[in-house]
Amino acid sequence: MIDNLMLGIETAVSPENLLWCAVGVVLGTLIGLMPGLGSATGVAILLPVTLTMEPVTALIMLAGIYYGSQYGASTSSILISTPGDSSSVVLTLDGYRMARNGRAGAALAISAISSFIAAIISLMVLLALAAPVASWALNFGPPETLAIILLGMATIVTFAGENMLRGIIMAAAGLLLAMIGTASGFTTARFTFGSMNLLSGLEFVAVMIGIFAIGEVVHQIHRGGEKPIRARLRDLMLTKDEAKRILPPALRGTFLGTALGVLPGAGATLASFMSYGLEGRVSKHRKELGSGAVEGVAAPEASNNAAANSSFIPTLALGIPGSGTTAILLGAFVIFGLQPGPMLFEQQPDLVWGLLVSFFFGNLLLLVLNLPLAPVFAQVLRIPYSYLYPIIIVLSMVGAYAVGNSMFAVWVVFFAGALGYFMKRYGFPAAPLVLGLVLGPMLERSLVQTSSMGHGNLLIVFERPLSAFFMVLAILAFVGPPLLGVINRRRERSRQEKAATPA
Amino acid sequence: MTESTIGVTPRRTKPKTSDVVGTGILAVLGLVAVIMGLGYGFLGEDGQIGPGFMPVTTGAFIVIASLTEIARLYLARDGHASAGLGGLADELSAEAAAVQKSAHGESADDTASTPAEEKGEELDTFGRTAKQRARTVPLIFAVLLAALLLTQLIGMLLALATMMLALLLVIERKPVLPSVLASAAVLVAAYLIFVQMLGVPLPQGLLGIL
Amino acid sequence: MKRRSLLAAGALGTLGMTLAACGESGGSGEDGEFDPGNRVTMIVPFSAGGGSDIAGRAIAAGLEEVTGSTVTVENRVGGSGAVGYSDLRNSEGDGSVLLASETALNTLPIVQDVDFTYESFTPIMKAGEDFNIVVVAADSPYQSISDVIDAAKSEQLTAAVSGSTGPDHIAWSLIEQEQDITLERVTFESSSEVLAALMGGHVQVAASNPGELTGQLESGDIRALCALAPERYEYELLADIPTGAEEGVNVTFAQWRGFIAPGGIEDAAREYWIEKAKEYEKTEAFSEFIESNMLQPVTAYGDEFVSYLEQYSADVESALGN
Repeated sequence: MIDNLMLGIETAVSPENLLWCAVGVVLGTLIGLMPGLGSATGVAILLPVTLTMEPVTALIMLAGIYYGSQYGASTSSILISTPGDSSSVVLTLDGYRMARNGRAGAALAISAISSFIAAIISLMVLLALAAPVASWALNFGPPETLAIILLGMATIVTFAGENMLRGIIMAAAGLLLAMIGTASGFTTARFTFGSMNLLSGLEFVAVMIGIFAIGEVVHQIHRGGEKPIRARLRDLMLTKDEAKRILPPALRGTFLGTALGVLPGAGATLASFMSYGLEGRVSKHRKELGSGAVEGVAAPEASNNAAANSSFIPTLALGIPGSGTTAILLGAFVIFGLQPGPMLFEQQPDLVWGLLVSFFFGNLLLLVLNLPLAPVFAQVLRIPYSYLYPIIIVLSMVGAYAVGNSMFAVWVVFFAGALGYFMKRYGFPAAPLVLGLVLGPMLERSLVQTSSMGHGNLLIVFERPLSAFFMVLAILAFVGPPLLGVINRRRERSRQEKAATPA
Repeated sequence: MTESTIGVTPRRTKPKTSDVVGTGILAVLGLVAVIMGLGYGFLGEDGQIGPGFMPVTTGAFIVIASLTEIARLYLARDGHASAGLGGLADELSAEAAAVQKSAHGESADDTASTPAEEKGEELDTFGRTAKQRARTVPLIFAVLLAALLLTQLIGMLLALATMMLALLLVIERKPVLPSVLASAAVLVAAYLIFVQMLGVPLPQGLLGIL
Repeated sequence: MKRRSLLAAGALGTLGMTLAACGESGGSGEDGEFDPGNRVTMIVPFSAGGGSDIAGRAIAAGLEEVTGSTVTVENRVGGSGAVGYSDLRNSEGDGSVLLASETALNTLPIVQDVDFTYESFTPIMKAGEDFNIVVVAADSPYQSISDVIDAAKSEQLTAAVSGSTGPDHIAWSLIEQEQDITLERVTFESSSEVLAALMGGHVQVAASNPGELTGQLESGDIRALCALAPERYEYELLADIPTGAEEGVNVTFAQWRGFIAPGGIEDAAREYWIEKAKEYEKTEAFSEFIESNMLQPVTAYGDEFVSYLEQYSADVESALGN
């Protein structure tokens, strides 16, 4: 392992590689800042630019774009509630709230620091355990994935807000939206009403931009808007108390993200939602969640970065991408004539370890860039909202177009924007809807696959030890909180009765 | 953060119309999903899950849950915003209530904005009264719609820049020079980033310039 | 100190990139008879980074070389490919628009309600065929395709396929018809997910293109049983794999790749592109494209390509049309 590390450092610190790593993270950050443009689009769009480079250098730069754009996406989620990536949707809850409370600089700093912590820890895991972890991850077939997604759905309770039943209904509505298009495993076109554009479903990014960015903008106008935030530079810095609160949630998020990122396809989004849900259960400050809590930024941000890193584990070690973005990177490997898989570690050790070690420098650079830049980025909020919101609308529309070069996506943004506005105005929560929309295709796919595997018998999820384990967890997560609620209420009532009798 | 101390606000016995209508719409959507889903085939040939399985189950769930919710809205008595799973999870929901209020600014902002609306003349940060605001929202969507339709004619970037100018001049009533400068700056920035750097083939419209 | 130089390097790089991108979009070129103009668009109906995109970009680069025109790749994503084909339809008569096409041209009209078939377009070149190879996990009890077929007669086997209309799905249907067996399909989103399921022991067999299998074949994580191709492959890694026919399974099925032009273009334009495509076939770039993707360079042009598509659609129809 030490040899590999040395080899990696040797490759990664060549001036050329460092330069392109830097270019990658800076470009990535810039792309991530654009509404709707996330890591997958960023890597895909810039892939052709790297074709003339050495394979190692090109891959280092592409990976830099990957995690750089995750930083950028978080920044735009926090500042203007406009997620660039589905994995930064959660940041529109507490991150955006913090920014609106005048703590934008702090929120950005928390996000940068927790990302860095997560990146470094998950990188260690990647360096030390890539091969064994990857082959272990193969044990996760469709039934296991199904169980994990159900476990993830249980976390919606945290996002459901004031009215839990309504939150759950919204999540189900999100699932319904996800069913538009050709059903996984079938050729039946559902809810497309003859539209060809809908055959492959609603472009998730477009719906997300519409609901969050456009919906929020118009809702601000309806409400009379927030005042421009004229925080002093001092207020933009992290306070001691805030700094102290970063580490525990960041570590929990890292753990969850690293674990979920390894699983093929499970992904950073699920990880970020679940880690937010986890904070809602275990954090000391869970009551502040949703009102701008440090934990609500640190945990999801750490977990989505950790997941991004650990999605490289199956990609490199097995040649099986762990996320949409690594799938595109896998395409890049093929273009360069490389075949990811166990053989890659033996045949091209300098490339593999050089790439991995470059993550370290890339993330360090991002931290160094983002910490001082956080207050600068936060200045965006000083722009009067009258000027800011037209800019958000323009960039959202262009960003949505750029994802698939499709005008249809722009129309989806428009209608989703109207929907998002009405939802915000009348108090129908958006986060569960988005969670349903993200998880819907995965849920249905694994359900159908499980059904095929069991020849129609779904109960095989309980026959396989791993999936049974996660199913039990999921059931506990669904049933536990309401049950606890009943018990607590009983206890509360009896206490009140006791208190009432003497008085 | 101060809102979290408000916690549970007293609720009127009569539910808000928006709540009932919104939930009703969801129920109808669920019903549509069930009906259409049955058409797609609930189960496959050999008892396997069919393409209609998820639409039907999800739709049915939405119908039942929405009806429960509407019933709850009417039956909920004063005092408690008792919610969720037949009122099983009071504690959690009360806790979440505090969170939610400040999270989306929904309830909290509703309560905050109601007095302002009643005063009527009070200006917001945009310098608009409540009445003007009510008109602004449909106006923005109209301008946006116009811009999207205009895209076919003059191309996406020009249409969106024009839209921005229109928003600034007509809706926000900003001075001409800064509005033009801001729109032009956004146009140039978007062109450089999307067209030059990322090579995105944005629609050029019939003019075919940008 | 270090930080500053890194920052400077970053800024410099961004600038260089922008300049490079500027330069790319402004090439020049001239030709004789039919002139597609300076700017040719190659539509790729799938998103960037996927197999179709890789093929489309390779072909575009090759055509750029032989025509001297700038061939810009545009990913038109949506409708499982339908949106891109539909866009090509809207460019009817325009000889400067091409589309990097593959099996979806045959499958979409059969399984979905779309407003085109291969007859709506002008097929130019079939650049290569990508045959399916039947694989099992390294520790699978099956040593040959006949083992699989025998087993399928007595028990329910599961076969992983990528996509419900993918070439592997069609190949299995043809095998089922020929051998009178049924296999339970477990549908995944991509061939890499198929491989993961196979290696994890969640499904028993799969079929995929050689280009998707090389890494796992080399490492020995999976074993190839047979190639559903008319002849054995010549690539070193694949040379030992018997064909289906050798094992008594007379099914061959390939995914084809190539490019098409819109319908209703002038004859001169059609001739021009066929000519240029033939030139492209002779270039180094073409062999590189074929080899790096492990395709079989079975090319076809114009009318010959059309009759191939006709036969192909018939095969797909019999497999999917029920």
